[in-house]
Amino acid sequence: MVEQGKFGNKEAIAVLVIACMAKEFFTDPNIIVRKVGTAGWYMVLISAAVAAGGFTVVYFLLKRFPGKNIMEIYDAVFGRYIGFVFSFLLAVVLLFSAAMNLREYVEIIKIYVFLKTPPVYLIGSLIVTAVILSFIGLENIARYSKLAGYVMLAGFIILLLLASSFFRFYRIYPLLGYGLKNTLVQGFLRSSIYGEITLVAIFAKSLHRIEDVRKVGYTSLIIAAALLFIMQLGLTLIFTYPFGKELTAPLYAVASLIHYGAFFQRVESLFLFIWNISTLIAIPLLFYMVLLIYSHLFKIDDLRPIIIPFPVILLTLSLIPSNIVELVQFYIRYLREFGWVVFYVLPAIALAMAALSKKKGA
Amino acid sequence: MPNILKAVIDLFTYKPPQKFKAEEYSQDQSQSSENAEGNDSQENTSEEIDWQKILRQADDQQTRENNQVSGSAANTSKQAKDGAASTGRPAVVIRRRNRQKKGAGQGSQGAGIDERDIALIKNGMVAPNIAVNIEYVKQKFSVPKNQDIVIREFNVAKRIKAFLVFVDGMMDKTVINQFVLPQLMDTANFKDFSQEDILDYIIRNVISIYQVSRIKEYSKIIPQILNGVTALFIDGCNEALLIESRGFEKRSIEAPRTENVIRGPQEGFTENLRTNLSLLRKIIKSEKLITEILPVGNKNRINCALVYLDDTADPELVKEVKRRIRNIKYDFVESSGMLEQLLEDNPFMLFPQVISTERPDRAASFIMEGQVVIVCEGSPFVIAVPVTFFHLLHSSEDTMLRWQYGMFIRLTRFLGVLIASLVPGLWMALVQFHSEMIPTPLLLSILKMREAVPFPVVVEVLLMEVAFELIREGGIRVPGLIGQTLGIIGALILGQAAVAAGLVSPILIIIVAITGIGNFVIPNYSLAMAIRIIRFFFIFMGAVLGFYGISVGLTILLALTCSMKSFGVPFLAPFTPKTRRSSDLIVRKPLYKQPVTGNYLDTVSRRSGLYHKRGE
Amino acid sequence: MKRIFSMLLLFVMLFMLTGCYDARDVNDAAYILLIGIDRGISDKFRVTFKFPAFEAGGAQGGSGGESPGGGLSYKTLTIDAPSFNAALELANTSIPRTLNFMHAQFIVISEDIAKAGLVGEFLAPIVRNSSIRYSTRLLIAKESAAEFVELLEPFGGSDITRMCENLIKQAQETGLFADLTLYDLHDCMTSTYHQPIAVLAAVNKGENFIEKGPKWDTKYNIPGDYYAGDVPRKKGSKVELLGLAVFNGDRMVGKLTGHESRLLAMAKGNFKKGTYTIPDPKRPELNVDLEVREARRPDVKVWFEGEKPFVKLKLYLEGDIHSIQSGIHYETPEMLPIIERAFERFIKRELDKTIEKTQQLNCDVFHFGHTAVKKFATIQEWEAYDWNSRYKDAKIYTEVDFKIRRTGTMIYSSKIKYAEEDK
Repeated sequence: MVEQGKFGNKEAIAVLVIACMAKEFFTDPNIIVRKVGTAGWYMVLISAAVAAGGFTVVYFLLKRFPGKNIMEIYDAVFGRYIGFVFSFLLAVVLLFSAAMNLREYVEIIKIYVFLKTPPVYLIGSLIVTAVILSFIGLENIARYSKLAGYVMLAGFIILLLLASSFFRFYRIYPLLGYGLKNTLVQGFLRSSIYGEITLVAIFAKSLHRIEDVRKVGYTSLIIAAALLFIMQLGLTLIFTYPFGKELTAPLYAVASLIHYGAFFQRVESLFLFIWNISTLIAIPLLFYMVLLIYSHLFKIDDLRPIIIPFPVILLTLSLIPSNIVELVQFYIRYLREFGWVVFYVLPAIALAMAALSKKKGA
Repeated sequence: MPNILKAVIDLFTYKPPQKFKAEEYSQDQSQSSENAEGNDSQENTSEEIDWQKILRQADDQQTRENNQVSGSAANTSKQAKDGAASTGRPAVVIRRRNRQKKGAGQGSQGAGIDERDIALIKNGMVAPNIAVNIEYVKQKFSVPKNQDIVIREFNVAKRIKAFLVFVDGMMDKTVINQFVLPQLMDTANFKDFSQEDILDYIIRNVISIYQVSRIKEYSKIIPQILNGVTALFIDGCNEALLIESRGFEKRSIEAPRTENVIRGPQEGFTENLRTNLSLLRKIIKSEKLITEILPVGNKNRINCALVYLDDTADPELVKEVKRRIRNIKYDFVESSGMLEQLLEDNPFMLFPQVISTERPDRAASFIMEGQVVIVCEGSPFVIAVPVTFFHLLHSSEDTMLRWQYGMFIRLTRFLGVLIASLVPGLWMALVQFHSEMIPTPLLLSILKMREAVPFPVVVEVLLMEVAFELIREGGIRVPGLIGQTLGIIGALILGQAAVAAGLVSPILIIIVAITGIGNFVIPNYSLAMAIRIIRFFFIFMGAVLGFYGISVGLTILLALTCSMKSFGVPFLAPFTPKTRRSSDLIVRKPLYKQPVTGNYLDTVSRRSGLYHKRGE
Repeated sequence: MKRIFSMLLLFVMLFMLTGCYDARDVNDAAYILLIGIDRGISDKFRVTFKFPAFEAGGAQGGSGGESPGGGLSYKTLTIDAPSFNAALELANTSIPRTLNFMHAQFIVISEDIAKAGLVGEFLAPIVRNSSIRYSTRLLIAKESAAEFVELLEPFGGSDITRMCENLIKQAQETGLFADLTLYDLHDCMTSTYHQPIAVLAAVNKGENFIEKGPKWDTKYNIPGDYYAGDVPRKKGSKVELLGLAVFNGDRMVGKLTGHESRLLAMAKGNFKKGTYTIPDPKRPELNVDLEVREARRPDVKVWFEGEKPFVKLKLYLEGDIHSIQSGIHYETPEMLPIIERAFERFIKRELDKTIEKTQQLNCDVFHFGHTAVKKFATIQEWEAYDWNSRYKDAKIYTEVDFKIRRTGTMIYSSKIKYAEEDK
């Protein structure tokens, strides 16, 4: 099996939170406003509650088979063939998700910063980074994300504090948005915002104990939910819902609003570092996870031989959407709205099966 | 044919990289120590010593002496010698002759060399027969050719033959002249001597030298002689007496040249190993302070000393350092700088993986923290391992000042690193990609200033950075005081003239200057070098993709840095992975809140993956 | 490790080879500082740009004494084009540099465009362009935006950006206009809560400054009760910002004077400070000057009876006495409330007038909608109610509370002594 190295809880939390948050910096807040209007800020909490349930299932599954990762558990529960299908499904969703997040990020920075640069160029540079980070290994991706995490957290909070002069509290009214039922349904569907938390099941072996999986999972869920909550609340307070619906990347718009005198304004490029680096961590992480699952599926002892061909697949996938509207309203939408099936339902089926057939790990 | 096939298959089968596992490591360790000794003995056998020649010449000498009594045997041997000289195939002939001679010697005189001597000398041991020893030593040091090896033959108490071997200039003449030779030659000293062990008698009663030792093996004697120790061989003894007589010209202790502090001791290491060790001992007066001396370099075999605190340094770490030093297969190790390169974990990484210092107080603080300090002969810099990024940013000033000031200057240094590595790159990105971020009044004045500059920004930046590098390198290479003047004059005049000539904009001079100053803040020279190179990397990244390029560069660089290890300790250790002992590395706290010897070991053992955790 | 390094090298080389698409030298761009938009004559829009002249300066050039950044001069360019983006391209046929809008300070739209409801039409491409920022200030020029842009020159300095920034900052000092950006306008245009406003700007040609005529006696104007361009002044800067334009959607339907803008700011809780002159309650021919601040945010209550909205607005103001011309000793606990009540009456009267004016325009610029929305649970209900259309039906009660805190450097007014005959 592939040596992944061990790392501490903080590193794991950092990498998971960054993976969760990175994709939320771009068009997702816009979609949330479009779906639930002014209720987005607590919709993310509803999603978090659903995700917490989903993660609990994953955790019980891991606890039932200590010392195994999710792919091995699938194999153990369903046998080699169905287990293969389950793991494969997960890998496909992760790879697709990586590709779509990559494309989304590239589209956004192309709109705001690199107006003339061809997208392949930007995608390519990100993929090369992903390849290099995959060579360096998960352990060091996690360590780097801890290093970057603190800085990015500080930057994120500074961003919201600077933007707080635009907060107007009337904008959260009407409180229920497009109706409570709508919010609940959307919150449930969008629980895959936190789907990345369940990646902990893939690298469970890198953590020291099974209690660490629990700690890491719930802590990163809470942190991610808190950050998303703050972000969504801030956006709701800054942009009225008709305005928020229009913005391609609301958070970027927030950064560009910041204006303190003649000297301190137009600083959004500074905050580029936050979304750049978070994406530069999140996509290599997803990529690496795919590699891990793939190497498990086909019993490859070392990741390095497959690090080179996979970027081609990632690049190809990321070029599928023909325009940003298709990307956002079709690919990303369905990825977010049905991602929970893969992230939470598959483990739930596995747990149910294991309980019924009374299978247990050593 | 099957062989070729096999080779092809071999070529295409994937072999997993050999991982360095902890279990293997301990085995490897024990093996390597055996190996090391094995190597030594192997070297001795492989050395091209012509045993027969030694024996023959020793025999010659004896027979010549015997010749005064009877000439017949001498004649035969002389003939033999002539024959040997005249034949075209000396080695074979000599062997044959020797065989004859052994028989002849035994047959004729009975005196001369017996089998025991031969056996001993062949195994690299001191033979009781002094003639054999003389010849062996002469052969070893190629004596007639090699003119600063002194072999002084004399008689102990006018009776027993003996000789001294030492290297001229490496020893203290007064020791030999006043305390060794006169006393050994004086018969009065041997009045009480009766047929007991003469060496023991000499040690106890005759030589008034503070340190003498008896050693049998030439493999240990010869390096000692080369180190300046005098060896005394006495006829009939199968041991040599090593007399401590080291005394060579050395520089006196001076203030450190490269690491200046305002408050703190002003003495620095010198090139002398003993002096350096004594400087360390002077600071750490602990019986637990261990000094192990290991030779380094296949050919030049200089000494280097491992200094560590026995109860603080991780035994695994000490073992690992010793293993690496022993396994150095490099002919000429000149100084700690070379040793560093031979010891480090990742030769391809930019950042230094050991820390070198010329301040004894700093080295002592490393020892107290559980690091192993390697003092290398001939180098005023000692190196300490393992090291983390934060160590490289420390100066001994940090702890000598009150904690508020210490923290302040340390944070200033962190800032310096950031500025030195990122500012030119950020400037590139800012000017080329994100000009909206520059405040409008400033932008307008930049526009005005740059209007006459014909180059694109990247050329402008590179031009100035390269000029700055030239000035800096020139300032170091130019001798003495001129260096400083050159630096100042070069920078001032070049900058001024470049602006006046419209080659660069004035604001760029500020950028280059602030980068340079940021770099000077970094206390570690190697780290400063690394940052100087990294700066260019960021200039490129900033020039091609702006802040995004810099983010990519940062990600790759920092992830690589995270993957670095120095003797198994991750480079960013107390921060990531987090270890218990991190109080002093990043932010300074009041002294009473940070005990010196914390769980540094923990850093070593806990998550590095290389060592076992203690007590597990 | 070796592999990583070779990849890194490859990576860097790849980048160097493909070139830097978006890298543009600072000196290759013309940084537009002001944008003016009028209705065009030969095409739909007439767009005016103002940018710094590209003159070399700095340490070299022999002149020596010239400080960097000093002595900037500006150029303008006016062009008729069917749309903003078309204007950009046409401008580049004559300007050798790429136009860059990142540093634009003001977007000035002429009043007739605003009145024709073309603002939305014109802003549509602007808000989609990532290089035009939401933090750019938006002004409505009284007559010609081109003229305004041309005549907006630094006053007392050489830096036009500082001039713009500081001019806008005066909104906080006086409250006679507001600091409004493109973000505010766009936010309000689409908003279901209230209607947009924009700052009025004009070139003051000094027409209202009458050199000769009968002198005013004891009458006086309410401070700031002018529209932009009407202030009777001479010289000084050629341009002025005063008052607000009121929009319905993207159509400008009315104007507020500087005085009304202040009342609006008070009602919204944005009022920092301002000076008021009211007649002395005891001797109406003389004045009392007050510096007024907002003590705390106003109370707004909204309730509905059936479909009809009711609003209660209560202002809390405080202030200092700046002058009492009459010399009457008001600085006693009994006398101060007399001034306070007089000022409260004055503000309430003016406020009621202003509210009525906006109700006639049916534009909720007082942001009562912000409070009204709290009565609605969902967006569907709120949109169905359509506050912006119902504002005119609202019954609005106002109340003002004013307290004098300090009396300046004098705490007692001594009588002015006159010679005998005046007694």
